[in-house]
Amino acid sequence: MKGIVFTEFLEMVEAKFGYEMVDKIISSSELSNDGAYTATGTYPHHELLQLLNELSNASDTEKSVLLHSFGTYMFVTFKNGYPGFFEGFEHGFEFLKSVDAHIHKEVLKLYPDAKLPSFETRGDGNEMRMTYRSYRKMADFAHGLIEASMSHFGHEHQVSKKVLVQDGSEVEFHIVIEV
Amino acid sequence: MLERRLKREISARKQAENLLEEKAKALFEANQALRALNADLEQQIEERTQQLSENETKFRQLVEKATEIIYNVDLFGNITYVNTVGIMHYGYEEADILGKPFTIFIPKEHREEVLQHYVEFMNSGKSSDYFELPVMTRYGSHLWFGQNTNRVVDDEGNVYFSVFARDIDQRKQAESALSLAKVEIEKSEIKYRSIIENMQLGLLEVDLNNTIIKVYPQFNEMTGYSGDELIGLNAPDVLGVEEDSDFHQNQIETRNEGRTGIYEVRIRKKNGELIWVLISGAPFYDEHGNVAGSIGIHYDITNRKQLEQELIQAKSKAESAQEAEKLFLASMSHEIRTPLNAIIGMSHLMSETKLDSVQNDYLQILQSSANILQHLISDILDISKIDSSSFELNITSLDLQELCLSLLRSFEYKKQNKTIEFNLEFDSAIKHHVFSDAQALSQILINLLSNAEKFTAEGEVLLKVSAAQEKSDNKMRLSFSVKDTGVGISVEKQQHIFERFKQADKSVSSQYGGTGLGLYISSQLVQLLGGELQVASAEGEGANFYFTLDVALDTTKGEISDERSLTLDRQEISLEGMRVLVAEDNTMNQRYISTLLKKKGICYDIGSDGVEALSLYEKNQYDLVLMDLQMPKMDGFEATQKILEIQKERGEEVPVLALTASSFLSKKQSAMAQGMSGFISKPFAPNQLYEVLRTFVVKGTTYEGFQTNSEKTNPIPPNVLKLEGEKEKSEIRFQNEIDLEYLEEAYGDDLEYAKEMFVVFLSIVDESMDTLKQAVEKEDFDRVKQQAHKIKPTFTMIGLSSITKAMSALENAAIEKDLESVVKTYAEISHHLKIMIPKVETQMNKF
Repeated sequence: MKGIVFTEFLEMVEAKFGYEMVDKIISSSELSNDGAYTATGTYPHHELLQLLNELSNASDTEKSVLLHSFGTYMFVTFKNGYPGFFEGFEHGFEFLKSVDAHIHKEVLKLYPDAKLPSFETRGDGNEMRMTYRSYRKMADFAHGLIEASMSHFGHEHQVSKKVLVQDGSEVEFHIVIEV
Repeated sequence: MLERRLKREISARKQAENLLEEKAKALFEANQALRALNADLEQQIEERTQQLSENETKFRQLVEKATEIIYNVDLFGNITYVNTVGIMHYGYEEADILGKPFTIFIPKEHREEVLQHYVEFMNSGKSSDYFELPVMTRYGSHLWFGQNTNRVVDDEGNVYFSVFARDIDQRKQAESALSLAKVEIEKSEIKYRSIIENMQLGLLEVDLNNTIIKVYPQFNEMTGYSGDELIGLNAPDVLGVEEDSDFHQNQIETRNEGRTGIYEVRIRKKNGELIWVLISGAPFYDEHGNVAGSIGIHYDITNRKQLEQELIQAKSKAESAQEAEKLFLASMSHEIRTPLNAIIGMSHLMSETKLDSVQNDYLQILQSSANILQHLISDILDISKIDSSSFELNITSLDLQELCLSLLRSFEYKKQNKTIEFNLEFDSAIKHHVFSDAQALSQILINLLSNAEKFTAEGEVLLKVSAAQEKSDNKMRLSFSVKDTGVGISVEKQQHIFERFKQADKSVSSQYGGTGLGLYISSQLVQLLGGELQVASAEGEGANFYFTLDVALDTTKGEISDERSLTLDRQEISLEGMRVLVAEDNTMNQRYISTLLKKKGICYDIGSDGVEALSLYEKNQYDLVLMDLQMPKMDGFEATQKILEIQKERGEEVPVLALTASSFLSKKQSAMAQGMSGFISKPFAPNQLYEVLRTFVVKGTTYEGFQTNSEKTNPIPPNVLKLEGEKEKSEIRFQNEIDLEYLEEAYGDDLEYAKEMFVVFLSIVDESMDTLKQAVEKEDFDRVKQQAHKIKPTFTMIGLSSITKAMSALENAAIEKDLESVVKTYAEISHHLKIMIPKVETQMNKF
C-alpha cells in the first residue's frame, strides 16, 4: 500500500486526536519501521489495518466510521495535490466515472506496483450505482471519498451502501442526487 | 514522545531521500536512453529525407516520361493541364486541348453516360474514382481510357481534379472479343447440352480415384438414383459388378494416362437390376493441363445386348441345324447308294438271264428308276455343297474345244434310238486354252445337254461356243449356248425352271423323268463362274439355254491347231501305236493292264516301282503314263513330280494318270494338285481304261471332269464314289459266288487271258495273305494298311469284289489303328477266302 495512505492517515489522526493518539497507536502496533512512513514509499497493507484497529480501540469509534472519515479527509488531500484530475467536470457523476476510467490509469503510470480497487459505474441523470471491488475491503474509505466528491461538485445527495460479497470485497453504492 | 516523533520523521525523510535517489538514478538512465533514441531518430529522419528527395526526383521524371496521360480538369469541366503524352497520343496540339471542356473529346453517343458518371462522383464527395470511357483522337477514331480521377484542393483552397488515364484500348478489344466468344460458347454449350439431354445419354463425372463428383439428370434416371445420392461414392463400388472390378481399375488407369476408351459393361441400378451400358469415357483436365478425372457417357444397350444374345443363340442353332442337315445328306446319300448299287447291279445281272417280255418291261422300269435315283443322289450332294458354300472352284488351263467334243461324244455314244444329231459350233476365234473350272463347266454343259436330249424326240442339239467379245489381250468374253429343237418351255413356266425341285410342270417328271435339280445346279454353277444362266424358248419351238463367262486366256500354251479331228465318234479313235508307261507294283494289276494294252496294239513298258518307272521314262518317249500312287521305293506322287520335271526340260507335255485304289476324293484331288492329268480308280473295267486313253489321244487336254462324267453315265460304277472322311462302316457281306458278270465284262471271250489272271492270282495269293497275316499278328498297322491296299484290286479281277471291299474295310481299320476291327476283318477275309479258293480253282479250270 502506498505510503501516502499511511502519512495522510496519521496526519488525520494527529489533526483530530492529537499526536499523543498517533504515538499511542503506533506504539501499540507491530510495525516494520516504527511508524516512520514517507508518502512515496510502499508499505504492508496489514500495518494500516493494525493502526486502524488501535485507533478504533483507543477512540472507541467504529472502524467503518473512521475509514469513512479518512475518505472524506483524503479527498481534500487529493484535490489539493492533484487538481488536474478534477478539472473539466461539471457533474459529480462524470468525475466518479473517470476514477476507474482515467485517474487510476494515470496513477498506475506513476506507481506501476500500486494495487488499486476497481469501480464499475452505471446509471445516469440523478442516480448512479457504483460497484467497489478490492481485496483490501476498504469500501467505507471509498464511501467517504464518494460523498466528499459529490459535495465538492455541489450536489445534495444520498449514498446508500449494499454489501454484495460478505467479506466486503465487493460493495455497491447507490448514489442519488436530490434536486 | 517528541523524541520518538523526531526519530520517525528523520526515518521517513531518509526513506524519502533514498526513494528520491533511486528515482533520480532511474530518471538519469531513462534520460540516457532517450538521448540515444533521439540520435537514432535523427539519423533515421535524415535517411528518410534523403530517400524522399530521391523519390521525388524519380517521381518527377516518371510524370514527365509517363506513358500515362495526366491532365487536370477544373470544377467546370475544362482542361487546365495535360502532359506531353496526352497530347501526342491523340494527335492534338496543346492549344486544341487546354481550356476546352473534356466532354468535347468524348464521342457523342457516350457523352451523356460519362457526364452523368462524373456528376454523381462530384456529388458523392468521394475523393477518387475510376472510370472507363472512349476518347476521340484527332483523326476521328476512338480509343478507350481507363482513368483515375482525384479530387485535389490547392493551397488557396480551390478544388480541381487530377486525372491519370491509361490507354486500355487493346484490353477493351480483347474483352469485347472475349465476350463475343463467351456468348458463342454459351450458345454452343446450350446446344450441346440440349443434344445430350435429348439423346438419352447418362453423363457421370469422376475424379482420379473413381469418386463420383457430378451426376447428370439422365444418369439418375438411367440408374434410379435421385439427386446427389451418388456424389462422393466410388463409382465401380456402387454401380459396378464385382467381377468387373479389375476391368474398372484398368479403365481408370487408362483414363488417368489421358487416353479415352469405349467399352460395354454391366452396371447395377439402385433397385439391384443389372443393365448393360455402352460407356464412352474421356479424361478431363484442370487449368494446368493435368488429368483431373474423367467423364463417362453412358448409353443403355440392355435391349441391344439381349437381342445380340438371342441372335447368337439363334445363329448357333441355325448353324448346328445346317451342319446336321449336311451330315444327314452326306450319310443318307451313302447309305442309299450302297443298296442302290446292289439294285442296279442285280437288275443288270438279271437282264442277262432269260426273261419273258413282261419281266423284261418290269426290269427296264426298275433299271431306269434306279438310274434316276442315282442321278438324284448325285444332284442332292451337289446342291448341298453349293448351298453350304463349300463348293470351291478349281481354275485350271483347259482346251475348251476338246472339252466340248468329249462331252458331245459321250452323248452321241449313249444316245438311244433317237434320231438326234449332236453338233458343235465352236468359234475359231478362240485360239487358246482358257482358264476355268473344267469340272463345273462340264457339269453345266452335261446338264444342259441332258435336258436338251431328254426333251427332244428328234432333230438337233447344238452346243455353240462363241467369242462374244475380246476384252483385251488376255481376256475374253465367251458365250455358251445349248439349243435344241424339242418341246420348248412356255414363257410363264420359264421363270420357275431354275428353282430347286421345280420342273416346267408336274407332267414333265412323269413323262420325261428327272428331279428338277439339274437346272438349279447349273444356274448356281454358272453364277459361281461369274455368269447367269438364261433361257429363250417358246412352247413347241425348242429351247435355248445360254450364258456368258469372262475367262482369262492361257497364252503360255500354243495356239490350237485347226487340223485336229472334230469327229464325235470316239469308237473310231485308234489307240494303236500309242506309247504308254505303266508304273504298278501289283503283279495282278501288271498282268491285267498289260493284257488290255496289248489287245489294242498299244506299246507299253512296266515299272514295278517309282524308281524303275522313272528310269524307263528317262530313257524312252511315251504318249501317256499310268501311275500307281502307292508303290515301294518311290511313291507315285514323287515319281510324277520327277517325270513332270523331265517333261519341262524336254519341253513336252505327256499326261500322267493316277491309278488309285483309294476311293477317297481327297486322294484324287491331291493327285490333280500334283500335276496329274486325271485318274482311274482301281479296279476298272477294260472299257473304262480305253475311254480314258482315247480322251488323251488328242494331246493337250487336262480333262479332269472325266471321272464324274463317267460315274454318272456308267450304269455299273466300278466302285462307289465315297465322300471324304467316309468309312466303310456297313457290315461286309461276302458273296459266296464268283462275280461272273464282272469276268464277262473284263475278259469277254478272251478265255486264255482270263485263265492267266486266275493262275497268277493263285500263285500270289498265299504269299500275299501270309504277309498280311504277319502284319496283323504283329499289330503293325502301317504294314497292314499297305498290304491290304496293295492286294485289294486283285480280288475283283477274279470276280471276288466282296473281298476287295473287305480289304478296304481292313485298310480303314488299320488307318484308325482299330486293332479289334483289324483282327476281326482279317479273320473274316481269311475265312471267306478259304471257302472261295476252291471255287476260283474250279472256275480257272472252266476256261
